[in-house]
Amino acid sequence: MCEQHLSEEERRHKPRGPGAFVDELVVAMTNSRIYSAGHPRIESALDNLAEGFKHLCEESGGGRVELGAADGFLFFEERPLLGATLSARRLLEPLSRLESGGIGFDPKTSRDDLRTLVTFMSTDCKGAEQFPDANLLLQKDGCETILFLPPYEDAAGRWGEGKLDEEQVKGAGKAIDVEMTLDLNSQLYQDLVFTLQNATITACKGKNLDTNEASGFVESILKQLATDPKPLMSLSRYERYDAFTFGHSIRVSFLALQFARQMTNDPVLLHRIGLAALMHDIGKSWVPFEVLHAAGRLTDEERAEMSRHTIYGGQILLSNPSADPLAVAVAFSHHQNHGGGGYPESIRCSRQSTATMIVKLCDVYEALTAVRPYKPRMSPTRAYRIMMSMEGHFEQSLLRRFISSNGIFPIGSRVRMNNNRIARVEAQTGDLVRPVVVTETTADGETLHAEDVGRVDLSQDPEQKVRVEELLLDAEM
Amino acid sequence: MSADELAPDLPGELLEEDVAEERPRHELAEAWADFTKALSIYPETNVRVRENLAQILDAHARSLESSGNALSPRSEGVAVLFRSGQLVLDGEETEIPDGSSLAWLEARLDRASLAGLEFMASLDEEALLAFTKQLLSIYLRRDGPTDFDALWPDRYDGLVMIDRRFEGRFGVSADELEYSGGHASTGAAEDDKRNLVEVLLESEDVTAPLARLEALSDEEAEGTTYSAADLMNRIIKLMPADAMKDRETLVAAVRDVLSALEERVDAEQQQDTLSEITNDMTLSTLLYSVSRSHFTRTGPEETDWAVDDAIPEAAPAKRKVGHAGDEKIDEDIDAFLEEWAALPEECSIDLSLSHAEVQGEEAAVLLHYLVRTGDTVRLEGLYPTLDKVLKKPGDEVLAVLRAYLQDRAQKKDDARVTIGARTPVLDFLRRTNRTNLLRASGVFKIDWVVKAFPQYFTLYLDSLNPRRSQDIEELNIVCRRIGNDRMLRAMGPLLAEGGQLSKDTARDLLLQPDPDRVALARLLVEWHGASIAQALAAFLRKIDLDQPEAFLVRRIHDARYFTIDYLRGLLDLHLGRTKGSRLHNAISDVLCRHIRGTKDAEPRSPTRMASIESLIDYPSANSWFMLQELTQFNLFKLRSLEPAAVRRLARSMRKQYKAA
Repeated sequence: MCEQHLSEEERRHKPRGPGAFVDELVVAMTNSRIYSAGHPRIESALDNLAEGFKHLCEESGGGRVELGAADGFLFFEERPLLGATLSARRLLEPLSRLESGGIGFDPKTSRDDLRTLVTFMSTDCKGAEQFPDANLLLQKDGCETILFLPPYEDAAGRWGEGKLDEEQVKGAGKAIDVEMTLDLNSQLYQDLVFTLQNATITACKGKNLDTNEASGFVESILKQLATDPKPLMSLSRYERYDAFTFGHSIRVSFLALQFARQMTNDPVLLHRIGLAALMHDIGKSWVPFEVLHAAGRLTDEERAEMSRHTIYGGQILLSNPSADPLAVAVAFSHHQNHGGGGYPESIRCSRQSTATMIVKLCDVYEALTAVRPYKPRMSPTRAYRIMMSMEGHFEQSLLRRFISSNGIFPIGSRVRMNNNRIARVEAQTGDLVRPVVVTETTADGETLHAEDVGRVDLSQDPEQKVRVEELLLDAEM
Repeated sequence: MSADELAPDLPGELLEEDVAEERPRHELAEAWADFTKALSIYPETNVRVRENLAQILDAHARSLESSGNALSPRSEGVAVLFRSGQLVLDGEETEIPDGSSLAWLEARLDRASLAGLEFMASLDEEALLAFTKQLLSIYLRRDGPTDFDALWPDRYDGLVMIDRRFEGRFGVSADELEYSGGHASTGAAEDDKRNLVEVLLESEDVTAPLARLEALSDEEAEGTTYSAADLMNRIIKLMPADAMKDRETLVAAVRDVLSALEERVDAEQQQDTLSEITNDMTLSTLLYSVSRSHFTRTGPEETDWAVDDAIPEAAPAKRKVGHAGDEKIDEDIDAFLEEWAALPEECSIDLSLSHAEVQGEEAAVLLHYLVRTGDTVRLEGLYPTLDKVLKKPGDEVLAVLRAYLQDRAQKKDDARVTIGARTPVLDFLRRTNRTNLLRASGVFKIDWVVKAFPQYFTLYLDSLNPRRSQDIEELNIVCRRIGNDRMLRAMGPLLAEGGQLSKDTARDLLLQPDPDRVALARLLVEWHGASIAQALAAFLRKIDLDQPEAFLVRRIHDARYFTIDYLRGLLDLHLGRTKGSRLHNAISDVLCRHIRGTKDAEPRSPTRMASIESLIDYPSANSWFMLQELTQFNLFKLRSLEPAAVRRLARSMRKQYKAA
């Protein structure tokens, strides 16, 4: 799987909890599709999964653990796991097919039981029509501690009835916008994760990589950005810690397209940039697991191997006769610096294209501002200052334009105003500290009266009676 | 751009690839490394893994074959060993390049306490797979045993694992070190071992800390359960092979470990956690953790044991997943805005697909793959994608092409495109019929072509547009500057490349005749023979050769009747390579073909009559038989076939026809 290399501190503070457990389950399932039983990658994924389960059990007070599924969402203790849901289409699809409301784990669930579950699910639950069949098959393979659960809408047991509604979600204490646009955007994000997982599986198996599916989703991204960029850009500031490259690649594509849209209307070029951004790190599929998971600082050899992901990325894309040369170029060059240097070494006989520079900028920005579990996220301002200090890495005028396009308070982010309102940034104005905002709630989270809700262009307020005080984290998903 | 800037090859220096010397053992080592790496990434059913496995078996078989001779039996196994960055095969050491697959494999073997493997004749694929999976699993572990038996509980058919502990003259006998059933050490160590412990105990640097450790244990325990030799045994077991290369290094390594162990024991005792230093498990644990910090790549401060074994001061605070909030913007906003404003304003950022820069970058990257990847990785999309980019190349693309063909050195050696790498680009252009890009890129300047001749000459010809008069004029200049003699001397080397120039191109190159290109025409006829006869005849006709033997090309316009021998002969005659008399038979052949060929259509045409008359001047067997056909003479009535007889006969025949 495409995991980023974690530092020692990140590894020690790797998040636990249901979301992380779901992630580990998906990783194990995906690895099982690629490697045969006993492969070190599978064993390692199972180790992580067992460890995650142990923590989850402890969180549940040592009792039974139930992971629910309904309406395309995953639940834990009636709390929707939006974050985990976005990465778990591979898990949700078979559950949906089996008409199952989730998976239940006995506290005595062993590593071998988890292995049986993972193996079974990696075959898309082959041989089972519905969840009772799946349970029989699990038992047949010696697993008696894990059960596929009845559907969500079943009145029996702890599962409520009816479809998920706004109140249920809000009642869980999370200010999740459940308007249709977000549903569509979440679905798009989920589809993108699934597509990139499949791309990784294909790359690992050495087969030709077909980027048509990803291409289709780029169209959807562009459409959503054109309609209303806020929800997608909110997802690009996704709070939940994401150890996987997929989230990074998806967010880089959102940022790159949002930026590129302001410089061109050319749909073909935008499409190509989007695809290139999505695929820019596909080469990590070929970086050995031991390097991605090396403890402590990387050795010179490991660093060299990691840096080869750029070369591998181009090779993976070129496995297909219909490869897009721009995607190949971006995968190869996105770590080369504008002023020379970087990697990989090659004959620098051409300029770095603006498209590559855009992806590079967004790649670095996303990496700097990505969530880390053990410390606050870096503010955009600090990230910009670091980027400005990286001599020779970026074309300076483009960096300037990127900063003004993205802003100190990026589109989609929530901010606290000096008038005790919480607002969401809708657009940049050219004045980095005075974007256009839409007020949503009071600072305490109470809904505003209709007359208080509105769109405010802060740049039109020269006296700054109303201004942004603080950039806020989106609700934990 | 001058010819020197283009750095052409000198004339006559042909590019020959070295024939690779067969080194099956090296190939075995490389294949083993590639296989291990591939299995860490791909499933075992992946074609890449399978190919590497096949390469191992192949190289292994060849290694075994090459090791036997008439006097000694074939070797039972092939040992591949690693020693401190060196690959050791048959006692010979080769340096392992940094970043190579071999270096990667050595790191894994090191962690697994192995110096290498011996591949026996009974090598089993499944065993190799199982061994490799275990090797990779061991590498993933950050903690755990280092004892050989614990790491390798299973055995693998056809493989003998060679542990990395003992080698050189500091090996120790198995009895002294409780060598518990490991596998063969390196051959040298078996034969030439010294008492390692004795060597160490001769040094005060070792005995002094040992004494102190014994004293510490005496304070705590009623009796010691370990001896100095015991401690030495344990340390040596954990020591990497390169610490044993000489006495000084060995003593220094053991001294450092003992010193660190003293500190650790002291610290543990102060913490009151170390109840009995004599406790075997505790000692082993301490020794292991201390030794790892000395003998692994990461520094002591980075290894896990420092955290895992440390006594926590307090229970770690439960950390919430995620964080409480974004980093507050405590940056000085005004300062930031100033910095931002100091950045140059956008000027010519142009995000356009048709912009040359995108294509230039695409071309550069794709050519990099073309040149650097070779046949090692199948990239099905490379040719079609590169072809797409080169379809309508702008200036940027042509500049990229020129850079690759010029073979300019780059910043670092690794990025240097060597002369051998130019070939893939040229090969690609030839295969995709894009040799015209060589001219468009500016590589084929006249000076360069002349200087580099005969190298790349065929490509140069292929790159011309013969229907463009400027190109033909340029070709004339090139041919003139090369000169007939040089062109003819290069005939040998150039002959091999004939197939690279199509017949159509060859014909087109003869379209606009010029005396400067006679030598070239001679070359073309060697390449394509009779298939260009028509074009060649027209060429010769138009350059108006002054040799009498050239009369036929002036007289006969239908090139069907010309033989290639005649046309070639004419060229040679003009170039001074032959005499006129050598062409007589060829001329006779042409005359006969003409006479025969025109028998029905134009039996009494002036041209035909002239050909018949000319037979007189070019007597030969063919001429004689031709006359036979014409006069229907009885052969047996003639007394002689001498030329004089033919002449007389022809004269008389002429009279007959005239009379008729």
